[in-house]
Amino acid sequence: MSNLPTAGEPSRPRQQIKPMEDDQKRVKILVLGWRKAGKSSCIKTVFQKVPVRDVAYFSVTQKIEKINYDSIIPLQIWDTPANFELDQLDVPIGSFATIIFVMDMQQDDSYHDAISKFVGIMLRAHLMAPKIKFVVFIHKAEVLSEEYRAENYGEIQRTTVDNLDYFDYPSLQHLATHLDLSDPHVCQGIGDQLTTAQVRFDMTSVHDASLRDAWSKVIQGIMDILPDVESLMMHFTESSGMDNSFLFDINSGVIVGADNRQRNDATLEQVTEYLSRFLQFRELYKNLKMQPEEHESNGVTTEVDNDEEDEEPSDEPSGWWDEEDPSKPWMFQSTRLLPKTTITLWQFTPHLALVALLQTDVWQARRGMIEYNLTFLRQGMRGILMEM
Amino acid sequence: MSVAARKKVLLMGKSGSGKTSMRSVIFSNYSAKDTKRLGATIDVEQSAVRFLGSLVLNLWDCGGQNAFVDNYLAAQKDTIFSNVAVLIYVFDITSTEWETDMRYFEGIISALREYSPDAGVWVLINKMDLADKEDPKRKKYDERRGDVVSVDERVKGKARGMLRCFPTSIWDESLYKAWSSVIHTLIPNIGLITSHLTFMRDLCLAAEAVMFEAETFLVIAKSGSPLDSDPSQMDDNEVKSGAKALDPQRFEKISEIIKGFRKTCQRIGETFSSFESKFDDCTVVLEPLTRNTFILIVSVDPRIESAMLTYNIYHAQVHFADFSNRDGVKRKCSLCRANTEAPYEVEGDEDPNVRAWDDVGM
Repeated sequence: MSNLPTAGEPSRPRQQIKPMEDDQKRVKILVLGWRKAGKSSCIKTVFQKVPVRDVAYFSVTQKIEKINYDSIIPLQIWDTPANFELDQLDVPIGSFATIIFVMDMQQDDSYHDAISKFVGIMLRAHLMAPKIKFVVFIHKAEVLSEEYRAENYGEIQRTTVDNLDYFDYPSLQHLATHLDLSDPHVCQGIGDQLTTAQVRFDMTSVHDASLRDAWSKVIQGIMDILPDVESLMMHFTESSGMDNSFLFDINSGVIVGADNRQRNDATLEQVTEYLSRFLQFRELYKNLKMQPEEHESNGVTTEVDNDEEDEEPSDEPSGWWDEEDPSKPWMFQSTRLLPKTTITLWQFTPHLALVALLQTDVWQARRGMIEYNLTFLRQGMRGILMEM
Repeated sequence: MSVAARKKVLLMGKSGSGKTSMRSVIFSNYSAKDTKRLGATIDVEQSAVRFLGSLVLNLWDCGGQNAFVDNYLAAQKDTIFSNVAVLIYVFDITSTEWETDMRYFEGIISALREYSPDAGVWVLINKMDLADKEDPKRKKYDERRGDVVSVDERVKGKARGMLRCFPTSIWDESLYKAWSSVIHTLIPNIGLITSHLTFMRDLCLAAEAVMFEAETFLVIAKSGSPLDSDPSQMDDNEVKSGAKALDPQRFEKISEIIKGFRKTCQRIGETFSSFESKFDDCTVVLEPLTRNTFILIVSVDPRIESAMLTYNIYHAQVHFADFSNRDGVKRKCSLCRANTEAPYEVEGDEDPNVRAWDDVGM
């Protein structure tokens, strides 16, 4: 049942995609922060599979490190040394879609300095490139108790707003010639715009799902195709009688789309953990392969697939679909929990998999229908990605 | 209801070496992080753990403060050290008082060899995670193990119980490996279980069939070559399905994966029950087999569907449950007949019309 035919999927996009400079097409994210705030660990544990236990042994980042990552959209994450200044960038600030500022939650004595620095950077960046989004990762949240965490979180948010209110706006006049930064109303407007729409705060920890969740919001925030992805998933989830569905970037374990109904932390943690555990399991058996028979009964060796050699080398640009073997069944997994939930996973592309939560009785009664609907969701999703 | 075999297992070692942490991770579903809240064990904490229905481990977690240990070796010597099946002795690799540690170990092991000469000894050198960064080649571990082995040889005398040494850490699968090795030697009918797993594997055209204990998720037995055996001992089916490429530590890793996931499930009020999967060339199912066990079947034959594996498991459940009956097997089965571990008294064994369990009618 699980390996439905893969026929009928759009094989290649119609129009030829012009080969682009790899660097240019990547959506860029700049990560800044105080010394030892955890910038590198925020990036490496998620996108480079560095085990959490190695975090304590990271050396200090000395120069900008650009990390390319192929997810639902191609990303380039810039890890910076401590106290990095925007002037040190060799590209216009406008090339970044998002700026992340990492703060160490434990160091409450340095909050104020860190925040005032961040607010300065944020305002300068905003005036030069008004579309940039800002995210504050309030990192190492695991060390503090529940109440302390909420208190510090509130404190950081309040301090940011205060800093925006009392900032010396006229000092940045040279960056915004079209605005009159000596007018308090204009400045108030900038501050409000930032706090209401463009700055987000997320508590993060490398020890739980919160860091991946924060990245998931960052990535979803810069995905133009997000509304399409979400509406497809919403439609599928509803019409298949499922509770929740999540589109995961497999390698990082970051959710890049969801049906967005009844979001809650426990479920997010559950599915994130589920995926990582399953992938650990898969790792143990993925090299298992039937060995070719040494002596075939009538001396004929197993027929070798010659199709590949016949294929002419194509000039088309490569895409993620080139990594796929269309005749292989999709990766599939279902885990039954008691009393009532089943978690299922289907691979959509080499990078993406759908994880869905549903009631076990629904799964048992309607598996055929769900898998039928799924072929359309999968096709639709692949269609969106191939058009990009 | 048959009477279960009781085995006394002593858990000893200096205070703070991690005895209770281990016990909690293995038997009480603690995560490594949870063990930080455990306090010191006072005197002896006894607990009983049922395995496979027919084996009960009487676990004696013995507090490691010097005062207690002196007492174990004096007034309580008789109570503590008689009828022991296994002694698990835990050392802390980071200990700075190795000489003293060895003196206590020598005291304990001499007492054990005197009162329970057949008892097996498992020495676990714990907290390896703390030493590995500075000493990745594990030189210190090798030295410590050498010391332990030479003490044992000195006091062993005529005692027949053997001694094994394992490096462990509660943060990875090494702990499961050590404990699997302990219980593996205690389980009755292990040959019977193994031959049936191999039969199941071949019936399912699978690469391997593995049995796990339900509560601890420790591996109990696998089809084909024995657990822990060298890849050169693999049988034809294992070689054919490419098992040589597999990680020899995979079962311990599975224990860790499943237990970790089970813990996450608890938080939303559900419990792990089973899974099926298809990935790369594999078709995999993990299902409950008996009340106390799970079975994992992994196949790389492209014809195999997970529903078929589940169906075969369903039909094996009742027969596997038989093995925990101490009064013997009651079902006609040529695998059981050939095995000497369990009494085989089957009505109609001679009657060709009675179908044997392993007769699949092919």
